Amino acid sequence: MRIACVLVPSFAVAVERRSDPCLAGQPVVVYDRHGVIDADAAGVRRGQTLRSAKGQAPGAMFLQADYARYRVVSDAMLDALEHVAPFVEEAGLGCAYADAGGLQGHYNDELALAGALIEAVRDATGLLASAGIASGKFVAWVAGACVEPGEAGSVPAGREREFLRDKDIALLPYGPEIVQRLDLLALRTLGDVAALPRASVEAQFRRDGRRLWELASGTDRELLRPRTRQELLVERLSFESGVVATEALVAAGRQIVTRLTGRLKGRTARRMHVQLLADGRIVWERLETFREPSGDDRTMLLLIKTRLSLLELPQPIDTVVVTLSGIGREIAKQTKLFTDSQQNLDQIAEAIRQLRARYGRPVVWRIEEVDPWSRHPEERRVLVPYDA
Amino acid sequence: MVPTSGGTQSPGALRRLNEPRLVDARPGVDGAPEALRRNDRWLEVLEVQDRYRTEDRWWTGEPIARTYYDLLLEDGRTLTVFRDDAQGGWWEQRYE
Repeated sequence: MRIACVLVPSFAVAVERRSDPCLAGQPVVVYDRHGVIDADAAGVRRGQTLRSAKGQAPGAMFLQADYARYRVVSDAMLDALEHVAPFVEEAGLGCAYADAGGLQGHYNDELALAGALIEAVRDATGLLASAGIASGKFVAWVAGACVEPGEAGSVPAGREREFLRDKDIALLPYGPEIVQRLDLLALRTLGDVAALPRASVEAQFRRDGRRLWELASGTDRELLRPRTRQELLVERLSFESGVVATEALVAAGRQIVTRLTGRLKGRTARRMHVQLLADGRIVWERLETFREPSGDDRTMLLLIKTRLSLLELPQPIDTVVVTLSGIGREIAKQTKLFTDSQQNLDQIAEAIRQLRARYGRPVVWRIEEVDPWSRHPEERRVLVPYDA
Repeated sequence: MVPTSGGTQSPGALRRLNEPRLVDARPGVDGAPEALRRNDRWLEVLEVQDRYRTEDRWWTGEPIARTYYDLLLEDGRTLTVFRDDAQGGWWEQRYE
C-alpha cells in the first residue's frame, strides 16, 4: 500500500509566524507548561525546559502554545488533504498520512500527487508542507522529513532499506532513552540497526526490539487508519457588540442549547465543546465529556453556567459557539409496565410468585438506585428480586 | 476492581447492573488499546475517541484507579473499556 506523509515542519512555529508577520527573521520558541514544544532557534530542542531554552537562545521570541488555534489549523489541513486523497489519517498536529493508492489515473506520477497535497495545504492554511510517499508510514514520514518545505520525496517499493541506510537513528519514533542506548552501542544510522540480526535487536530492546528492527529495515506494517467523519451539531450566537457579563453569555448558552437539543431529536450527545470568540479568534474553549450520554438541555446548561461563572475574560466576547459530538441513538421511550391499578398490581404479583415457585429462584427483578452519583457505573444501580 | 458487596449469590441476592467484564486488550505505546479480543478474534482499534481517568477511595485500603477509553473498533462498534490501574487488567464497561 502506497502511503503519502504530509507534514509541516515546526508546525507550531509555522502557525505563529503565519499569524504574526513581525516574527519574520526572528528565532521563535513555542512552549507550554512542560517545556519547549517547538522551536526554530539554534540549539533549542523539543522537551527542553523553558529556563534552559532561554539560556540557550536569549534573543529568541518565546511564545506560549495556543493549542486551540493549532487544532483549528491542523483540522483545516486535514480537510484540504481529503479533497485530494479521500482516506487521511491524522498523525499529530501538522502531520497526516494519506492513502496514495488508486490515484494513478488522476496524476502523472507520485510526485505530482505529492505536489497536489502540498498545494492543498498551502491553499487552505497558508503553510508550506513537505511530503513523502513510500510503501509504509515510517518510510513515507522519513522521506517527507528529509526534504525542504514545499518539496516532496518518493521511495520506490522495494528500495526502502536502501533509502534508510544512511539516515540518523534519531528519526526513529522512540524516546531519547532508546536512541541513547542505540548510540552507546555505536549504532548511528538506521542501516547499522538493520544490518544486525533481528533476534539480537529483540534481545537488547525486548518488546520494542522487533518493531525497531523492522522500521530500520524499511518494513512498517501499521495500517492507515482514516479519520472517521462524525456527526457534529454546531450552533453559534453572535452579539452586536462584545460582552463580558457572565449572565449575557449564559443567556446565549441557553438559547444555543435549546436549539441544539431540538436538533438532537431525542438522540444523545457524548461531548459538548464550548468556545468563546472575539474577532474570529478563540478566547476561551472547553471540551466537556458527559458522565453519561445526554440529550438533556438542563444538564448542558448547568455545565455551561458552572464553567462560565468561574471565568475571567481577558476581552469582550462577540460570539458563542457550542458543538455537540458523539451523537448517539434515539432514546427509547418505554411506557409503564406497572400501572397504578390495584387489580393490575395484584395480578402481576401473583404471576411473579408463580414464576418464582416454578423456577425456584427470582426471575423478575426491579432496578434500585443505590449510589446514583457514583463515578463507577456498576455501583449506581442494583437489581433486586421484585418480590423481595 | 470494586469488590461485590454480596459475596456469593443466593437466590435473593442483589445483582449489580453494568458489572464490568474482563476483556483481552493489546495496549499500544501510549498505553491506549490497539486491539481487543472479541469472540476469539482480535479487532483493531480504529480510533480512541475519548480517554479519561477516575481515582476514588484512595484513602481506603482498596483504592480505585481507572483509565477509561472510548474506542471505535474496526467492525464499526464503539466500546468503553478501562484499565484497572490499581490491580491491573482490562475491563469492558457496560452502560444499560
